[in-house]
Amino acid sequence: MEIQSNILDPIFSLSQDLNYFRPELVLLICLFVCFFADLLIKKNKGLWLSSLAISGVLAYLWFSYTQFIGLEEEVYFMSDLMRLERSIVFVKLIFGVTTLGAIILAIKTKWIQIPLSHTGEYYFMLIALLLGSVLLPMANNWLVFFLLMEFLSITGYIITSFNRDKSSYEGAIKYLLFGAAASAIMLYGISLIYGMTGSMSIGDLANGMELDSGLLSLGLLFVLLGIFFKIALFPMHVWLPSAYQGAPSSGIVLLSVAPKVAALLFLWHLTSIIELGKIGFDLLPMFQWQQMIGILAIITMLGANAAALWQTNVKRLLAWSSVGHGGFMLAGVLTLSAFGQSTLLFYASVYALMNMGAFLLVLLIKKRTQNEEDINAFRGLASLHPFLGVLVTLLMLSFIGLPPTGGFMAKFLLFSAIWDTYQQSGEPIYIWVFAAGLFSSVISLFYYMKIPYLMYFKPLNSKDPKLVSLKSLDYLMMFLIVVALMVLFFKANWLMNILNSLNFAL
Amino acid sequence: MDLAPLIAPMKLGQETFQALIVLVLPLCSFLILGFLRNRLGILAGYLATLVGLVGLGLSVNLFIAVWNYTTYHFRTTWFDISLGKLPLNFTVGVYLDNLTVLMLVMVSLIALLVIIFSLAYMKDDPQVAKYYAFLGLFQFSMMGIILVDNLLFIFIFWELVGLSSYLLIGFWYQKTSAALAAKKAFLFNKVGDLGFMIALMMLWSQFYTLDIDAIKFLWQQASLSDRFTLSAGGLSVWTDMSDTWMTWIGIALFCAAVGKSAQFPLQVWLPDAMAGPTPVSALIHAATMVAAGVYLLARVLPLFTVDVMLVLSIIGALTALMGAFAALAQSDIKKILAYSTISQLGMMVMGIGVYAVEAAVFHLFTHAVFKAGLFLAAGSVIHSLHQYEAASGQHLDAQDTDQMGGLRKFIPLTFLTFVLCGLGLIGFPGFSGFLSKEGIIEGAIAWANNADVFAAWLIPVMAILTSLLTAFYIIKLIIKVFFGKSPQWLVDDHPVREKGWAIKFPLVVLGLLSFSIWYGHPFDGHQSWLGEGVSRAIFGNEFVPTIIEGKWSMVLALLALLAGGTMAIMKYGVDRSYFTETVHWLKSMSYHNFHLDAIYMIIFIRPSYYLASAITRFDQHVLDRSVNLLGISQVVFAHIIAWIDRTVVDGLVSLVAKFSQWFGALFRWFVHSRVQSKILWAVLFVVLIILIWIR
Repeated sequence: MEIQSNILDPIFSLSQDLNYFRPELVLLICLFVCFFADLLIKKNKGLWLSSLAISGVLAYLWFSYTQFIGLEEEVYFMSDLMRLERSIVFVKLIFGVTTLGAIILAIKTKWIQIPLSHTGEYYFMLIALLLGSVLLPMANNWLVFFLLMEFLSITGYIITSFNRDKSSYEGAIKYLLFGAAASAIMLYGISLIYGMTGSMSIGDLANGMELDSGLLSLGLLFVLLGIFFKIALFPMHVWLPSAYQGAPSSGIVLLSVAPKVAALLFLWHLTSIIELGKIGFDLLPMFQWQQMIGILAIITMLGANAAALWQTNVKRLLAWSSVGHGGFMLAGVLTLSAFGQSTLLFYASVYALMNMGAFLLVLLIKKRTQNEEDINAFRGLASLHPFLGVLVTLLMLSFIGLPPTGGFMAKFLLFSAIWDTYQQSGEPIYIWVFAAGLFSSVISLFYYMKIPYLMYFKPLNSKDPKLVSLKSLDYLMMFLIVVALMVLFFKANWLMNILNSLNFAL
Repeated sequence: MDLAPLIAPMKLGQETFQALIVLVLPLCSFLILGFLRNRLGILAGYLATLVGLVGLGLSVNLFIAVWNYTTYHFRTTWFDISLGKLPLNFTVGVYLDNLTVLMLVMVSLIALLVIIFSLAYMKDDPQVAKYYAFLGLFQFSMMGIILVDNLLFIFIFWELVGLSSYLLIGFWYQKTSAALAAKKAFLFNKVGDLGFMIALMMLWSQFYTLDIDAIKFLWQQASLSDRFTLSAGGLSVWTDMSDTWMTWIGIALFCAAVGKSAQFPLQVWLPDAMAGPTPVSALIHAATMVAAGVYLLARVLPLFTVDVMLVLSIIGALTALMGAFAALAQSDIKKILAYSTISQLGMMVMGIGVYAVEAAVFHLFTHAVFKAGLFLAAGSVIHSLHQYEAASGQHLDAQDTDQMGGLRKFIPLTFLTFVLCGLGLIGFPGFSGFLSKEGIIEGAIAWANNADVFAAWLIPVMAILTSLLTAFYIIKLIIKVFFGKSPQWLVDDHPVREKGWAIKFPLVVLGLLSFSIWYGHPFDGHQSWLGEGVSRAIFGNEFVPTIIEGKWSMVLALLALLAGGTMAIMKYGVDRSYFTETVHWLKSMSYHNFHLDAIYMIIFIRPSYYLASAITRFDQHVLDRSVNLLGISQVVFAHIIAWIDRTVVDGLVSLVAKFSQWFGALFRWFVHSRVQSKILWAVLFVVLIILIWIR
């Protein structure tokens, strides 16, 4: 009996560990149901598939929510291959809501470009992207981490190419080539780390530190570059504008939030392990990651916002803005404090919301200009659609980070966290990050306000049609997003209380 | 001392909920009338009346529930962005005590009467629905000032009251005088509001809350131990709370009252505000809004230091005397009443300054009743003359008392009301003003008696002089308008008459309420239930009446008003030619209200214009130029960057490309697509990073 139970032990523990995967299992089931439905159903395919996808994501959200309620502390499972903590479950909720938004936007585009036969594949890819994003921060093993990064990348490449036109393919192939290079670098980094620590477990990183070897630092740097590629941070950001320009708007809603935040959360985990590892080696010359990440964040924030100034294509503009927001969130990682993590997650939630609003706007504009994404499509729009004008202005205020919007609270909290860290550590890099963040917010004012400016102060081109099909549903979605942003300003403590109650690695 | 329990949320009870309904009712009226103004027509007035009736009923109900029984407090967190770091917890709530419910009943009652009066007075106005809507907005804001427990919200409603006053003064905006008067009132109020704002900031920096109860409590604690720490939201702040701070806070708060209650030196807006409809003048510029300043002073009284009280009594006495003096030479019936209002508000502020707070609030109430009565009676005069004007086709100025006379035969009820309310105003024994005004004068005399400086007697002397002048000008006004021969323009075929119950009913009610019998012992202010209840709200349960210095203060006051009255009767009762006497420098001084307008023009307005034009020039020649320069330099910089982008960055890319081309046909594929060069760049940067950070 003894022996038997010993043999069965792993199986028991596996079945127990599967409990932690409930939301992901739901997604997996949904994935395959969509896949087969796509093959089997002939009539009303679009309707069937979208309702299947939506109900799948809703079920996923429900399971994530119960997990959020039930989970109390950090757990390691699957023989320490995976880990789970409440902050990760929280971002699962954000990703789920974002996916819902993406699916609704996808329904709204009415498949202008995509033939009906690909509907299923598209949902399949969106949900796969969601699955990869929720799993990535849970990784506690370099191999699992690498597999998930690749999983995310590949779904990303395919989604980017879904518009099936020249620019879409161009963006996707650039993304793919760049991604392949990044993966190669990262893989090399992982092998270096394995070589130095002798373990694939991320938690064992500290083992190698006592060797005081530059090679471990080099490996870590290469892994960081791989993560930077996912977050699209300098110097690994160059693929992003053309990829965004080519990709379908609904896809970017998810693509620009989920992998980014997932990778940031993983980065948080990694940096906190590095910090923990440092304890005990009072002088560790090898890897000043704060310095490096700080300077890269500064360059990203300043560079991306400056680059956005010159854009006239709305999607490219939003792409650069997304790089910039990635820089802000990276600055949040620098704090590595409990308050810092709350602010980072707050920022991520606000960013996910704003992004949804922005790409909804892109879709509306596309309708007006027959597939053009030029910023001039906004000219004089406010005189035709005054209510939309107000909503867009508020949305842009949120992007800049001005009151009375959640964007303000997000930046305000993030900067307070950085300031606190500066006060505690006294390292000059934090004050530089702080200054660069403020300054790039000022820069961003110019290009974000360009849209309301065009809407209000430029005359209407008499040739331009109205947004013919601007329905009350469009207004409602936009309105809900803007109201949510305002609530995050006036009742910021609702969300902050939840975030403060998460338990942290630090 | 922990701040959190002081501003903890409190439950919404039945009474406070009822108070919220009273608050929201006029707002509903405003919204409904505002949105449906074109479709309602005559219904608008009746709707407003109905809302007013319900509001009055609820107010009286609240009054019965609260008066001399208990206080109710409801408080909730408006928003909290403390987040564990900074104490930024903003609360809001409703507070009900004797003072609050008294004001509530007063405002509801007078607002209802004014709305009823307007049914007739504003009948022919094409925009009548807008008028009632604005009245609703005003009443909502006024109720807000009275009910909320928080200075920030009082400030918000304070500004809303200012807005609705602006809208109603300028209701006939086609008239230039009305538009200008509205602007003037708004701007002069803004000066005072600036003080309010500064007071709020100072209070916040000291107490980290604007809840009146909490501030009072903290200040009390602070006066027990001269300095202590305040912990708010996990943060301990050492608070100075010195007397100097509190004096400045008190003076800044008083500035708000100076603006709204038309005290010296900001009183000049009130006479001009008479350009609005007369019922509006009765409600806003006589009974309620202008009294809001006095109410605010009574609410925050415990925060005032001795120095602030001194400032209050000096400014109050000065305003009272100046107002009474300026009323002497006016000929416009509404302007006389306006200056009289300024003068009486001065009396109230002075009353608070000399610690006769219960008398001051009592006077606030009685004044609201008889001054509203006087204004409505004046409105009735104006209305009947307008009717006559329309019927007979003659042209006359319906507000100019020089053209009136002998009207008592034609509009007897108006005459009666005017006399009753006038007797209330001069404080004749048996009328309401007697009780309250005597209280204030007695307080002033007691205060001067206790003061060390002999100059303190100036305050009661000024008060008594004001009393004398008040009797003089009001009796002069009554003689001028109602006695004597009928004016020449009056022809018999179109009689001047007061018409309709809507005019008569409010007059009767207000005239009757001017008798003192309603307020307790008709000849002794100390035995009034109203004064007692108010002092209970302000000073707590131990009711200590002001020290009675024998009866001679009352005798003095009576003598003053008899002297004033007799002088007026002697001078004008016998020979009406005195009305048209030649211009005397004193008369001109009175007529132009000490030339304050001209002085402000020279001291403030013209220099502001000069400054503005100087700044404009500075703006154009210096700032704009430098901004342009900055813009140009940015463009130049952008061009440089663009050049760098084109030549260096792109150049490097092409260089790399060319290099690769040159490198060999083997690597040709490496060049053609740009993505490779991008990867190359990334790799270059990675190498750079390695060189910098990895050793």
